[in-house]
Amino acid sequence: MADGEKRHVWRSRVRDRMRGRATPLFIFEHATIPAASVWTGSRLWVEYFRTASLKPGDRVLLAIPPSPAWLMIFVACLWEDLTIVPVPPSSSSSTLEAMRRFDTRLAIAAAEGSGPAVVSPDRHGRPTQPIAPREATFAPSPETRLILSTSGTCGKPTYAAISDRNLDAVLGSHIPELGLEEQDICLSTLPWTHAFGLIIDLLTAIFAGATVVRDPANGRDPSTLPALADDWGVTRACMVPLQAAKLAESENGRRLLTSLRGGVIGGAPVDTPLARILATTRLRVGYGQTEASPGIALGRPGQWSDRTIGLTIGCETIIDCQSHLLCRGDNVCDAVWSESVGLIPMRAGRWLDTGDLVSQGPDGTMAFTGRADHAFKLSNGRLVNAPELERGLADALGGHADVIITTWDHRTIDIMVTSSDAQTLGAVAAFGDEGLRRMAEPILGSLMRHLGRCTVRADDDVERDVKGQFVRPQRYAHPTQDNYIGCKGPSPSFLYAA
Amino acid sequence: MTKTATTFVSWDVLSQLGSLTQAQADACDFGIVQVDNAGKIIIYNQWEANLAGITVQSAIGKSFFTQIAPCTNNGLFFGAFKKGIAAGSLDSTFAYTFTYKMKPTNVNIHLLHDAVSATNWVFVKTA
Repeated sequence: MADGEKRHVWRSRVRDRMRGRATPLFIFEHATIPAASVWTGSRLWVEYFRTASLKPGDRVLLAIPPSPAWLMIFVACLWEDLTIVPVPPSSSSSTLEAMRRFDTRLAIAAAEGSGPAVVSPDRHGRPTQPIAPREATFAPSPETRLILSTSGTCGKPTYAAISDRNLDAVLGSHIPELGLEEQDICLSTLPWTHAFGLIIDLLTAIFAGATVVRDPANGRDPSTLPALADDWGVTRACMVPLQAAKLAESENGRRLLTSLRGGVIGGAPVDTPLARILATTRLRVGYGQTEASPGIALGRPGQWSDRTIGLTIGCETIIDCQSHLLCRGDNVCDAVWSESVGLIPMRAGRWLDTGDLVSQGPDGTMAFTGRADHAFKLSNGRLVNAPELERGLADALGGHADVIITTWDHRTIDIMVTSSDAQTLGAVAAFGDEGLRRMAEPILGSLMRHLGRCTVRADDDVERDVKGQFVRPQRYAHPTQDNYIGCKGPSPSFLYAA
Repeated sequence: MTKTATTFVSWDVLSQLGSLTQAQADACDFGIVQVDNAGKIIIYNQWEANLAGITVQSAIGKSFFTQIAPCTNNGLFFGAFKKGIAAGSLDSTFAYTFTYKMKPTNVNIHLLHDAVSATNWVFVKTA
């Protein structure tokens, strides 16, 4: 393929989808903009980038809130084959720090003049005065269209470099399956800086020509969503389980969930109570990781069970002998970004270790059973899938307690039971150590002979790693190593997370 | 969201919709477009023509929603028009972004059916 064909793959797509078109339509709190005006705005930004002598692969930091300007700049960057680094809007010092971290030549931020090479759009979303871009330290990254941060919920985030090929793979597999239509009105609550909100939610809606209604609260206040959805006749929504669970607490919220024609719930495991509610809707589970751009699996509408992650979509998956889910395909990112090294290419066709432990049903539907980071081996080689055992124990304790299973010495396992519910705590404490052992026996089975301590304590929040009870060695030291196959941080792997 | 807002259209204009002429519309400092129930343009004032970069004569007789301003051919804009016409109660204001001379421009829109004169109007003012 000629170089010119490989480049500019977005030009015909965005032109056909947007120029002169009334849809996709984007509705914000104070503005409504059809595709046609996003398109003309993007042309002004294309001219701006050219005036600034930006070349394909130059990195541009996009640090403004979801808005018409955000869309215009995003489309202009696609047109020019620039590498887009979307980050949450922040203070000017944070913007400058992000420019350095991602070695961007320009930043688009709300606070104009807050530093060199920082530009702000005007109130119509157009570019303002020309500025000189900063010199980049590292080479341009023309094959990389997006640099996205993993969620880093509990650990240090890493940065996936998503290529056009990666985006093509996920959009190509997800758009037909999601069945989005021009008539759809999509409620957008997730951040456009993360893979779930940007690719699975926003880009699929854009390329389906749907209407996107942006939540002014950016998903932080689910109680406002039913009224917003009513105002605009919303037909679809993507969200994280916490949002769905909060909606399910109210009658209006449940009405919204059941009225939706479609949407994806992702970002974290869905437990049994929420799964029961979602089974009455047409929502479906989505599972993935930022490094997989992010789609790996998708459930069927309304098919929910405890911790389901659905069926593989658009890639190959295998579950290894230790229940690790591995993924391979065009969705797996071609590189990662390191602030000290720049772009680090990854081996093509590699298996991405999701770091998640899954089981698979007869129909191929997979279920999340735990995080590999949180499983450990005893010194006799026995694998302890702590999260799975923890859930079993928590259920046995009536579901009102959190259970953490750790090891100090890889010879014995410790059980810690915590709860913010005084009654539960009292009841569990009354069992005493022996009582708790007896209760654990059916769950732990042969592991009982390794049981060391049982601890009961009052606590509102339990984080295994924060407790410092379980430190896991990283399997690979540095992403430049050939066998590096993904994020090795201790964070949960549902990197759709908001 | 700005689904409803105070109209920017002056009482002078609202009170004479049944008899408003092209010349009177041309004298106004905001966009005035009169359309029939299908959206065909009857009056297209000079203010709107100047911003859109087309002549008044070339707009008259064409469909506002599909030919002159195709970026309005969606559920929010044309959909609201059709729904309002069908219900006989078109009176909707909202913010929108038009493209004038290849530049996105924020505007306020007022779609109105005047029951007295049985006429339909699209009013536009830059925000």
